[in-house]
Amino acid sequence: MSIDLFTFVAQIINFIILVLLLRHFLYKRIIRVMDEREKNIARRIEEAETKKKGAEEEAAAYQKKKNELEEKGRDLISRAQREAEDRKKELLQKARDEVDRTQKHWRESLQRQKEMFLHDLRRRAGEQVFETAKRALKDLADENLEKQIVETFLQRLLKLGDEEKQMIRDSLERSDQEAVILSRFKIPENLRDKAEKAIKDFSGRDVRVQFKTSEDLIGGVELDVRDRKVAWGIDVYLESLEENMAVAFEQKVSEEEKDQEEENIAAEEDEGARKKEEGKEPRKKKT
Amino acid sequence: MNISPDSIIFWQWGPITLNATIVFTWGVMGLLVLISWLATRKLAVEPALSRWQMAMETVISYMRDQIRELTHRRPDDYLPFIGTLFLFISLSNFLSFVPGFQPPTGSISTTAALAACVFIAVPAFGIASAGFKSYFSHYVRPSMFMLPFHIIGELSRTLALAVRLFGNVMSGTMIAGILLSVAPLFLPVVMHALGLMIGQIQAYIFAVLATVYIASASRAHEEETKRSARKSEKGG
Repeated sequence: MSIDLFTFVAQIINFIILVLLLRHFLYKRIIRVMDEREKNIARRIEEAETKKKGAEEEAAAYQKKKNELEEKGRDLISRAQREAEDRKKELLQKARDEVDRTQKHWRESLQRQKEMFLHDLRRRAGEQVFETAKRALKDLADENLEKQIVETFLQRLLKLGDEEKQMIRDSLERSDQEAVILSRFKIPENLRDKAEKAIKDFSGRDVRVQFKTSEDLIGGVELDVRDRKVAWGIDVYLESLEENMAVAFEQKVSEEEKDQEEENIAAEEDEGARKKEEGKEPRKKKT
Repeated sequence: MNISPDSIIFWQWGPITLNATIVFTWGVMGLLVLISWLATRKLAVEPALSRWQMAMETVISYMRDQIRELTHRRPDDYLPFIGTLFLFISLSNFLSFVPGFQPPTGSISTTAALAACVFIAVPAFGIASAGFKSYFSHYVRPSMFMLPFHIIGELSRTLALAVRLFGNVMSGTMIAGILLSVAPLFLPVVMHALGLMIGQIQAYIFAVLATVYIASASRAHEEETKRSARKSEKGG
C-alpha cells in the first residue's frame, strides 16, 4: 500500500484530461442550454407581464369608458325626466291659463249680458212708468190745471237765483227782447197778459212774448229765450223719477256684482288651495 | 489477494507501468465521456428533451445548487473541477459491483493524485479570485509564526482527504473479499450494497470537502478585504 509514483502522476494527468474533456463535452454545453432556457423563460415571463399589464391597462380604460357611458346615460335620463317634468308643468299651466281665460271671457260676457238686460229693463221700466204717468196726466190735463201750471211757473221764475235771472236778462237782450212761451194747451187771454206782465217785470223792459203750443209737453210751461230755456212741467218730475229708478237699479246691480265678486274670490281661493294640494302630492310619492 | 489495483500490472516497459488503476481509470473516463457525448449529442433548449440530457441536466443543476450553497458564489467557475471529482469518484465506486472491476479509487495512488489536485486547486482558485499577494498574506496572519501551522494544516487535510477515500473504498472491497471467503452466500451481497452506499457518500464527502477548502480560501480573502474596508471607513 505504497504510492506508486508513476501511477500517481498518471492519475493526475488522467484527472486533468477528464476535467478538460467533461468541461468540453458536458458542462459547457449543458450550462449553455440551461442558461438559454432560463433566459427564454425569463423572456416569456416578461412578455406575459407586459401583456398582463397591457391587458390590465386596457381593462381599466374600458372600465373608465363604461363608467363614463353610464354617467352620460344617467345624465341623459335625468335631463329627459327634468324636461318632461318642465313640459308637463308648462302644459298644465297653459291649460289652466286657458281655462281661466275662458272662464273670464265667459264671466265678462255674462256680465255684459246682465248689464244689457238690466239697462234694458231699467229703460223699459222708466218708459213704462213715464208712459203711464204721462197718459194719466194727459187725461187729467185741462185749462184749470194749465192755469195752475202757468202760475206755478211764474212763481218759480221769480224765485230763481240772481245769477240765473241775470243770465236770462242777458239772453233777452241778445234776442232783441223776444221770448217764446210754450205750453201743451192754449193759454187763456187773462193768463197771457199776466205772464207777459210778469216777464216784463222780470226783465225790466218791454218784451215781445209769443205764445205757442206743443204736443211734446205734458202739462208744463217753457220759456225759450234764444239760447236759454226755463221750464216747469211734470216731465221734469217724471225724468227725475226715471233717473231715480235707474239709480236704484244700478245700486241693486252693483250689490249683486259685489256678491258675485266675493263668490269669485272664494272660488279662486279654493282653486289655489287645490293647486297646493296637487303640488304636495308628487313630493309625497318621492318619499 | 491484492490490496491495491496498482499491483495488477497488465503491461510494463521500463518505468512505464500499465496497471489496473490506470486502465480502469481510462475505462471510467471513457464511460463518462460517452455518457456526456450521448447527453449533449442532441441538445434541445425547449422540450421534448432527450432522456440523457434530462438526466445530466438534473445532476448538473443539483451540483450547481450545492456549490452555490457552499460558496455563495457563481458556481460555474468551480463546477468543472468539483463536478468532475464527484462524477469520477462516484462512477468508480458505483462500478465496483461489476465483477472483475477494480475501482481506481481503491488505489492510494489515485486518491493521492486527486488530493494533490485539490491541494493545488485551493490556492489556484484563491489566487484567481483574490490575487497572488493577498492570497498568500493570509498564511502569515495573525503573525509570521503561524506560517508553518498553516502549511501543516494544508498538507494534513490533503493527506486526510486522500487516505479517507482510499481507506473507505479499499476497505469496502476488502471486506467484500474477506466475507466472501468466510460466508460466501448472503452476507457479501449486503456488504456489497453497503459498500456501494459508502462509495457514493465518499464521493459526496470528497467533493464537498474540496468545495469547502476552495471556498474557505476565497472567503478568507473576502473577509480580509471587508475588514480592511471597514478599517478604512473608520479611519476616514
